[in-house]
Amino acid sequence: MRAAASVRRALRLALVLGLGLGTTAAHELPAQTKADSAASRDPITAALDSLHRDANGMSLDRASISAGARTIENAQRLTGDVATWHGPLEVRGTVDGNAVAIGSDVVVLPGGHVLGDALSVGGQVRMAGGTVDGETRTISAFSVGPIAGARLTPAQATRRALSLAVACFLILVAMALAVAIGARAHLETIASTIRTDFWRSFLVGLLGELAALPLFLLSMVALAITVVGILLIPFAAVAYALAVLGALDLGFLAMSLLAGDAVLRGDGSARDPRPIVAHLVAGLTIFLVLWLLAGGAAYMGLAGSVLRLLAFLSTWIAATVGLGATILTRAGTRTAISPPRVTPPTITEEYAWQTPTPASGVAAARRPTPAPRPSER
Amino acid sequence: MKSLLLVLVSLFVFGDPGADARSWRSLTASRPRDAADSLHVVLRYDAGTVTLGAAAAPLLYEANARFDASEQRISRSYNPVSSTLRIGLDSSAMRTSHRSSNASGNEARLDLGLAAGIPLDLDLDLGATRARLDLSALWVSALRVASGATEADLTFGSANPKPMRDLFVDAGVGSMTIHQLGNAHAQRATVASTVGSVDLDLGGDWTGEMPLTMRIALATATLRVPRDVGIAMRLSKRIANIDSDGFTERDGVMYSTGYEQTKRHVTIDGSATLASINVDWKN
Repeated sequence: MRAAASVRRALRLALVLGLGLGTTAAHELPAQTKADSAASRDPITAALDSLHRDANGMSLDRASISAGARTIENAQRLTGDVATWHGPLEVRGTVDGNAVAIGSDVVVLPGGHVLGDALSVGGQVRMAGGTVDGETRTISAFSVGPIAGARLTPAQATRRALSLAVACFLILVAMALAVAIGARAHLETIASTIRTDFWRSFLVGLLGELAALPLFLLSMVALAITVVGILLIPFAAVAYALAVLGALDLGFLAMSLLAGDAVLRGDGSARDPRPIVAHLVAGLTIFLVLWLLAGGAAYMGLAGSVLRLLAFLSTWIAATVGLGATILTRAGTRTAISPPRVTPPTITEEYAWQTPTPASGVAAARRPTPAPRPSER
Repeated sequence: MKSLLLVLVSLFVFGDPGADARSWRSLTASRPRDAADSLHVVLRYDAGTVTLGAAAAPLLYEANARFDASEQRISRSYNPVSSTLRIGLDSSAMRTSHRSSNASGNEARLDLGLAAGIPLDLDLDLGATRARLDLSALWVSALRVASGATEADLTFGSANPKPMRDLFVDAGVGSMTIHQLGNAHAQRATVASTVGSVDLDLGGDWTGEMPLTMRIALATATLRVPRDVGIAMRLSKRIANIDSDGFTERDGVMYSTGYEQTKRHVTIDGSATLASINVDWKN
């Protein structure tokens, strides 16, 4: 009961932190955007900038655009581009360049001739008896949003990071439940190995991570050598990926279990059997909190980067140690046997004269003989 | 704990309110044909639906597109010197959630019409799309279609005014159905598929010889052949199953029954690796 209460407290804390940071970000970031907007130029200049950056737009001089409706009369021949802002552009004469209407229509009437393109943003280009030599183009609105190569806004990045952290947590909780039900003994064996052989597990895990890709490639090449093996490559690749992910997951859950043990130790966790699910969730919550902090601080610059680094390092170390222990215990099916620590025998004064003698090459030392008594001399 | 987990699930589900906020845009573009005497089209389209057909009479091309501006970029350009139209949709920044929701029908779309009566050199790269390419009434001088996971339907509804210089179709891992390939009058035709499927109708208004190269690997190809057409097949096979009923082999070439008596011949070469090729005779 007390363990469950602790888990509830931890989850509440994580939730509050996540929501708090998310809410803070949501409130602060639009303010930044507004500040940026306030610093921007007048709407016509901003529209021309968007038109320039739009993949289907064009570049226009500020002098070529006028607010409201505009008509190019019959006898009129306009050199260069002509554009309107929130007003229809009627062409009855000749436009040497492009005819553009932002937020309205371009109407090419009889006698009207546009030598360049006719473009309407948010309206239509209507051919009412005139001609357009170039392209007639309509775009419903500017499309200069966060497209390829553009970075997410801080608010989007924060929301995405928080959602990702919670999603991963929920997936791991589901896996923890499955492991607790179906492979508790294996998990306990791995956790026990981590407890006793932490650094060895870490080293083995590190080697496992480094060897994962070469081993994969080798096995694929080995399969490809035989014609029949080629057929097995897709299945082998999937099986290999599942095995590696499974080992990582099992090991990470074992580390989470140990973390949960550490948190709940004062809550009667020493009793046997302890509530393993509660301990697992508590351990996973620790990692969730780390990632929520890192995600919530996505817009905090250096502090956010440090928090992300901390979250990543702690998760990576946990996963690596867990993977090592999983490898050492063959997924918890056997107890890892540490190399026996050989304690040197206690050498008493009586046998101190003896030296370990190799099979060949070194002559044994002579046994020290006591000094002759004066009477024997 | 259950209630807290439910809250977390809700937070996850509703935590990204902007995730489904699309910014749908439409684009229409057309250009009069004027003095253009040919058109080279480079189309790159990686997600959604694309259709290709004939444009209305005075136009060189007309394009109608719908796309999500928050995730995709559509662009077109025309070079009057080389008579080259480049048009494409790039979804490289598209998020996974949007890709999956796109599959439900609310997706990007491009309808492209091209001028009839002038030679067209078509270079089409299709990613994961649904493509309906109806080249009937068009004069196609060269065609290259490369697709990834595309479900494509390519139709030559009427005879090409002049022989096509080169036809290359790579179905990739998708499925490709080609109707009345004979109307293309291709001097050289290559059809490839890897892990996908190809349905090839050799019908149409054609005479004489049709050379066809097939490169099929881990895939299935179905040839639908009119009964008045003779087939000579010289494929290098590696664990391939070729429907050889009614074929006789001479000097390493498999000939269909009555090959010598038929006036139209298809000569198939290429390779089939871990593939299945079926021949379906049609009246």
